[in-house]
Amino acid sequence: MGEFTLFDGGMGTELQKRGLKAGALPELLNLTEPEIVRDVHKAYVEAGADVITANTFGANSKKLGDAGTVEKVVSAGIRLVREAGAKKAALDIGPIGALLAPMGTMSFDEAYSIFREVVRAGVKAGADLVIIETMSDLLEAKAALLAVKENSDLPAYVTMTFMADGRTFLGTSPAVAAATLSALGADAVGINCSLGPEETEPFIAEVLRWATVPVIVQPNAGLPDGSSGETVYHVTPEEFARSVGRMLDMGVTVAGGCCGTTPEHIRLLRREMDARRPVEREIPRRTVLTSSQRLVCLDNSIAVIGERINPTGKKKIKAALRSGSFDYILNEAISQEEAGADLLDVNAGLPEIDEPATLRRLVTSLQAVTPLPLQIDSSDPEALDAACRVYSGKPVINSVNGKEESLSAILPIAKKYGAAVVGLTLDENGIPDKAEERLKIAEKIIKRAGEYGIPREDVLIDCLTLTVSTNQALAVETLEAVELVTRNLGVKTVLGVSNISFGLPAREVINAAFLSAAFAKGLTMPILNPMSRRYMDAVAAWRVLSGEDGNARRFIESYVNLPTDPAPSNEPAGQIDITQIVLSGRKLLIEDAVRAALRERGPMEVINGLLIPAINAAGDKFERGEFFLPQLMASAETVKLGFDVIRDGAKSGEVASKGKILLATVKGDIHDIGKNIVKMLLSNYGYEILDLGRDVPPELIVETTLREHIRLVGLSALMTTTVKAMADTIKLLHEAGAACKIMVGGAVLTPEYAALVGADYYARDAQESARIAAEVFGG
Amino acid sequence: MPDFEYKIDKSEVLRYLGHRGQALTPELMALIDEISEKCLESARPRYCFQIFPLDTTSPSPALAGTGVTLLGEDIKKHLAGASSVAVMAATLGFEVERAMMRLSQRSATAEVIFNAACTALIEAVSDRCEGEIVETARRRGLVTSYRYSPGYGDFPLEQQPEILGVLDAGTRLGITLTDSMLMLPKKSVSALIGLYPEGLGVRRGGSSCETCENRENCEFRKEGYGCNG
Repeated sequence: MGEFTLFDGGMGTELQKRGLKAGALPELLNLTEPEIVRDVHKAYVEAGADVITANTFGANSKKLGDAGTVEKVVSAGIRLVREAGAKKAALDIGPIGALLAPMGTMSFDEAYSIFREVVRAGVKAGADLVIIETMSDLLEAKAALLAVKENSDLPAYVTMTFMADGRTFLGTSPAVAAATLSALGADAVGINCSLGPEETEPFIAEVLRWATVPVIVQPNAGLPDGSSGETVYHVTPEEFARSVGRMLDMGVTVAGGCCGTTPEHIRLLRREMDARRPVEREIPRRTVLTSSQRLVCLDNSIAVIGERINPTGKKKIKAALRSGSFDYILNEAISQEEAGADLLDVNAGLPEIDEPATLRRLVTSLQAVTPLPLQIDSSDPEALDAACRVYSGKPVINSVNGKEESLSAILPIAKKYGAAVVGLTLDENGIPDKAEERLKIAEKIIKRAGEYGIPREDVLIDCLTLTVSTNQALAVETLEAVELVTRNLGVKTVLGVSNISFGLPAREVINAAFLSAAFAKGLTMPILNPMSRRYMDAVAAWRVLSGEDGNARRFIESYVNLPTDPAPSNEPAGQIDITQIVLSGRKLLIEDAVRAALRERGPMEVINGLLIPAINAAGDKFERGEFFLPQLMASAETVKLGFDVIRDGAKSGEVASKGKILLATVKGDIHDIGKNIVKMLLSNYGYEILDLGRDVPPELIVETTLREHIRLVGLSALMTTTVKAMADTIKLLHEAGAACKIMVGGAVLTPEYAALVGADYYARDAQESARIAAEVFGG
Repeated sequence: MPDFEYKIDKSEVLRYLGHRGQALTPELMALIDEISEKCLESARPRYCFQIFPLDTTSPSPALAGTGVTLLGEDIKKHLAGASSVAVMAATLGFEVERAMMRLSQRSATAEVIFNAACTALIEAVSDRCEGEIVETARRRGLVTSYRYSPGYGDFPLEQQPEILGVLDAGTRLGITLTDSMLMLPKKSVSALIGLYPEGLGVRRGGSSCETCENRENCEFRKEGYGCNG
């Protein structure tokens, strides 16, 4: 593993000693007081550091603002390192200071272009390498790393910063960071800042366990102590060097210091390095998939891939993809996770939509509501690239196959984004019947992947399930192929099981048997519907039989008190007045009550005669102050369940939608509770709601309004600073000639303000929005 | 930060939900308990503060040694007579944001209650931070006023970056700002607390909605369901 590399120590704290004021931009000193910066660098060169970090941590356009140009600050920064006599100069890249979507409002592309500007300036100034550091957001670290790799040939080291509980501020663990950033092509990965060396040690052990590249550590001189009113660090140079020395013995090869460390800390660390040789690390070769919140490792374990986010044969998913209102899909994701899925397949393939844009937005939205790693599923390379780019973690790409055209289009994408890839055993000649032939295609895919630099553990082979009713002999061939690939090639396998039973009755019976047989042959990742109890039973059972579920602990926990059929309710629902059920918000009773009512009346009669009067009664109580908000909402949710029963049972066209309403929180604003309350209530009056979410660009609102022929648009803004975005959106809607009325809401708005931004209606509260809708749609 | 077990005061949650004595069903009470528990489980409360001498030699008060001048008449009035000022920030972290986004897909009722529980909790975290400031002040023989945040009165929201900057709240607490000066995580607080010599008759508590300078920026008013009742 070569030699140790010693980085320098704290810059900010050293500058403060020399008079830098708290809160001031330290990078500006490169221009205003270069001698101070050079002095600090010199002290670290004299202490024996190999790499000196330029004073460019916050030298991005966002932080500098009008105070200085990125190019000037960066080139001065690198020059000062050179003037101090450093062996190597590192361009330092810290976080932008604004948060990326979905948690924040900055787009991936914006973050990328901010980093790109810094990287280009660094290249121009002659930096020898780049250190991306103090990252909390895995996606931001990825944006910075891609900016380096796509705009320079410089090595890039990446460190993230962890709290005492072993997570970054955004919830990423050292294991996830190490696995993901290694796969993305970082030249070293590790930890800096926040903690002292003692506290960092267990987390660096995790990094060493999961990183496939050299590991770097740059701790603080202990935890910051602000008890005296000023921030101080207590770990002495001796203690620091000793602790970091221990991490060198564990396998770390690149080290330095962060806040509170001084040239003396680095001088003593130099001695520790000079006194030892780097230890040989065993680099783990495992199939690992990640999201920013979770790591799935396929060593001795199987993982269920949920298949439901796919428009094929699913009306509601098609509608959601077309309209861009993803609620139904997001709920499917949560349901599959709750049912036990370990990963989720995500497919947005509809011919009439912009698949790259839709898949990209869907992947971002999904990552806000589920921690599961995603399998990005498309036949369009452009869509795969777009979605992988904004994915925070190491995804699976579904899929490549043995055709030359596919290999050369898909494998470079997998390599660029450090993704694992599913390889289908078919080629120009179709799917071979014989298992041995499929094995050959698998071998070819693995070999070609290797040529692109994709390790074999990141290739997952799908031996392809064919329908047993059309060719009964082929079921066994598929199982045979799974066994051959597992045994001969030592890679993991993927298999969609449901195809097997096409055309047969009781398909789940066949599917579950096929699934168990495939497990016995070595299948690691079944793609299935986790909502099916029968499949998940087979999965749970196999985990016991294979030994993955040690002592059958999980199985016993889940199955020992397996509920039998629910006891019949004591209160015969049909006899309770629907209004009473709604007013008391008793969700458990409403479905039966509505079903009972449907036996006597038509669906529209149940809606207009029972459900809407009930929600009106709840609304009246709210108006009179007899209900407070949660009561109104519980009533509204109860009615919604009733609506769902009617819609699910109705023939198409029988329950007419009263009209489509588009809702969105405007660009720059991410408050969405008010909007969600309005959505809840309006959906109970029979309107179809398209919710585009929060921080929605005006263009998307206009485009959707025109395409879906929306007659009422509801916009929400909760900050004085985002009302401007509301005005912009309305202006754009008018310019586009959208034939819609616009209602606005949000606490900072008043009727006068609403008129000023060009809205047709001001909705004081959710009840008012229902009255407005009635007026617009003449209901 | 030392381990400390926070609690969520149910009466506070009800207050933020706009409860005014309406009859409460056992189901609703149980739901509030369950969601408050979820809020406590997912929250990663953190805070920090730093005390700066107040420089009053210029027309606007400034945090000595930082280059930060506090703008507006209201903050000047608020800090009149203060010898120093504590700058504080507190947050519940991003986990509650994730939990809430997930919850919002399942039930808007649960989302609204979760939001209220988070508001009660961030108040408790801020109170705890303020408690430490009060104690530090007491040891210095000083008394404190109440929390005053950017956006109150004519104290501009645009000073938020400077206020968070002097604390290095990005690195220490993970608080970031959007272009529209919104703090993320949303359940975050930044504030100034004046430290005064005793005997000036400093007002401690907050105020009612009508006289509150925070009328326009109050989180509870923004969400549309009142503040003090």
